[in-house]
Amino acid sequence: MIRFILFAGLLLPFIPVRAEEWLKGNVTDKKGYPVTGATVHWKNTPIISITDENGAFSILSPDTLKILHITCPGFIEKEIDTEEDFRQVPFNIQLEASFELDEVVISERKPGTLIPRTSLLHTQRISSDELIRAACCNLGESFETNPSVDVSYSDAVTGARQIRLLGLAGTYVQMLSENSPSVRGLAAPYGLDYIPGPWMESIQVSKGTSSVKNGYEAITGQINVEYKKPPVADPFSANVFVADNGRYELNTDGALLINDKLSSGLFLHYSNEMAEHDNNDDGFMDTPLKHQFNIMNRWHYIQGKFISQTYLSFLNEKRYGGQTTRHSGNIHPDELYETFLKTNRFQFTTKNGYITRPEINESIALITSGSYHDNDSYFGHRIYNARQKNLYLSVMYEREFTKTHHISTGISFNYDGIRQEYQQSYITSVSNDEKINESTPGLYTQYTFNKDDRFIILAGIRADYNSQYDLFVTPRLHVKYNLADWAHLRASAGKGFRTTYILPEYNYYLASNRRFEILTDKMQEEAWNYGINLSFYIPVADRELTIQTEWYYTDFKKQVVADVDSDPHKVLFYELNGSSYSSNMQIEAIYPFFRGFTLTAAYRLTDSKTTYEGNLKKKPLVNDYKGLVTASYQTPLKKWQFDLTGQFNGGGRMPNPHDNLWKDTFRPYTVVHAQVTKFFRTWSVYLGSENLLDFRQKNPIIASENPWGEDFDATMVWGPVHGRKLYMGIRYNLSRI
Amino acid sequence: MKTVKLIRIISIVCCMFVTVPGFAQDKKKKETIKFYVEGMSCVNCQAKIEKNIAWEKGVTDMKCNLKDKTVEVTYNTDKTNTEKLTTAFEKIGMPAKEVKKEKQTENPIDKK
Repeated sequence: MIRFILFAGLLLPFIPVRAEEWLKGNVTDKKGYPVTGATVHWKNTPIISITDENGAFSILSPDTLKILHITCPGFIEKEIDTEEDFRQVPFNIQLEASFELDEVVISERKPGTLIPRTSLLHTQRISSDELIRAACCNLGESFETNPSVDVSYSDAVTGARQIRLLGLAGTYVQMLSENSPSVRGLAAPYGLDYIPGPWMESIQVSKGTSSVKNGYEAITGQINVEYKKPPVADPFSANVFVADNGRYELNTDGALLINDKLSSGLFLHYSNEMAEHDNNDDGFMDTPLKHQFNIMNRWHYIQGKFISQTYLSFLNEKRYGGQTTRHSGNIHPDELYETFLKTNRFQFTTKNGYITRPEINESIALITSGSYHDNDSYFGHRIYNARQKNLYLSVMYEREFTKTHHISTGISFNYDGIRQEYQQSYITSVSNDEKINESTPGLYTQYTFNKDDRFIILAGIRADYNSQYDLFVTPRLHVKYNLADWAHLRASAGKGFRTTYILPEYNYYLASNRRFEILTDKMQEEAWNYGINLSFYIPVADRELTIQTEWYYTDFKKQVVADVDSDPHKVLFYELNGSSYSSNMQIEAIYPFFRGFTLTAAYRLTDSKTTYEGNLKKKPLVNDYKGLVTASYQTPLKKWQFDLTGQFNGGGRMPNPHDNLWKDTFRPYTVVHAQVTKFFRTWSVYLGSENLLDFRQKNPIIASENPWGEDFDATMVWGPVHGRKLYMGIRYNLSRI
Repeated sequence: MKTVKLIRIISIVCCMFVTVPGFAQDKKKKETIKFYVEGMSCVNCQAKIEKNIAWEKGVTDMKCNLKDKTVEVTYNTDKTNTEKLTTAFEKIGMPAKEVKKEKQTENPIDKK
């Protein structure tokens, strides 16, 4: 059955759609001068055309479509009924200049991160302008200038990193690529390194409960990555990067418009980090040696009211970590503690949409996505090999009844199959060859009430049936109300569910001699999330001060607790018995002080607690607060850019220290990043430093002198494990304009 | 060793700042000229001007006003002049007319 659905999903892009006629015309201003770059599209459809240098456009013209919508910055948008308004060929459309546009100065900077004011959800959009402010080699390094998302190392050996949002681990954040499942399960510990920065067009970070359309897994939020789109992307871009830790990488992407309907993009990444570093002289490499090859090919097809996008990607990665003979004195090579991970990952996604009745915004879409993840690894003597297959199908139907009432509904199916092999010596289990199979069909419906974009309610509910955990229901509600043009209120409440896969998601704990004790077989987690957000847009001295205030609270009803507190030689996994919550308050202010200069300051307080064996305690290794200041200056002709980021991380609690192996708390610390970029007409060069003040957690590996002893633990990481890093890169861009 | 490395980094960053044209003490004569660009009718047209005119020799600053379709260009008189800049606008398909201060009532903006 799965094979059949998969085949049908792949076949759909190639189902022939009847040929359509083309509508040609020109867009001019009132004086008859051509308007370049105007967007012409059939209302409520993705069928789109952009006017060329002569103001000319050519757009597919299906019989059923009548209303053309024309927009261009600087002009009042216009709608044209092609049956009523056009009797002549070619069609001429005149646009009227917008008088709201008092002054648009070419050298004013667009903000790199913004929360769209009309967006119902509290979603930050991180654009490519923001991503170039730091090295941003991959997704994991894309949040250095962002106050909401933290990225930290899970251990000091493998280089596994995890996102933390609203004070909770990244596994509670639904990670998506182009709104399809991406980094989850086996990919979770290392997946942030799987998405190269230069491939990304933007990242959307939604905090709190999200829409039910993308499933039930988002508990603290959702992070969606959009890759560069072939129809609008630049024909060719390249990026070469070198760092003083021996890392070098090459990224290229190209877009090809094959004809009016079909376009394709090819993305390549190669990185190599093979120089050994041990700055704290503990005999272990500070970061693992890495080697990654990554390729993606995507296709975009549009014909009439049918639009299809497909992308395929393949990744191969190897990581070597642990002790080395170079840094470990006279240790015999056979006695070295080494880690090795080899990953092969294949992923595909195809999205196909058909606009059935554009006049009422009625459409149907099918998303099919799948991945195969193959991971072989060892951590000292501990071997862990696993494979995960995932298939995701979603059929969506949307319809607008009036401008005020909109409904969307759909069905989905998710399958996860994991097969894993491990040694019984480190895990309490009856088997050393385990299979996990989980299928979850579900359906949802979502209603939107929109009163003039000033008052919006989004109410959604979904029901899913999990082959292991039976039926569960996910309700979610969002409200947005514009108190005034300068003050917007958002509130949300909703539930989220997810299944924990212990070894796939927590395999970084293998970089210790802790024994895994799994004391429950109920792996489904359930939590409520509530949030409120107030956004202010205040004019101050002819510029706008943006202030974002927010509070989010996550309350777990069911949780698989990972307990490293109760025993320093074990990691216990058991069902939550008591309270578990995370409360986050954040304030952020953004102000462009003068032309080209923007300052962002943010402060966040986190109170995250869980019941460990009957005692409610602060979650270990979580910062109590975080302050962030970023300053960015771009010279008037955009030839230079200077970026400085300071992260002021609060202290926190360490897991219960036995025998004084470590302290019971960790102290606050500051990390500073700086970068200078010089732009040229088609290329730019950047020079920067991560962790400029060279702050490092001293001795992040417990008992590093005896990695075969029971006290050895590389997972007690709360701060940077590597020191100052200097890097330099060159970007080349062949522009479409 | 660490101190030496830090000093080296700070030196590099300082050097880069010093060489930034905008920060340098420029004693050369600068003039600002305002152009009326009829074809500058959208953000993409702005981007086209920005990508090209900014790289014309001698240009040190530029401000565009999309509503008025004007571009104010500040330039170094030793390196370029009005004619060269007008030619540069023509080259990218955006013909520009100089808006002369003494004849402001006759310029194309006021005619609108």
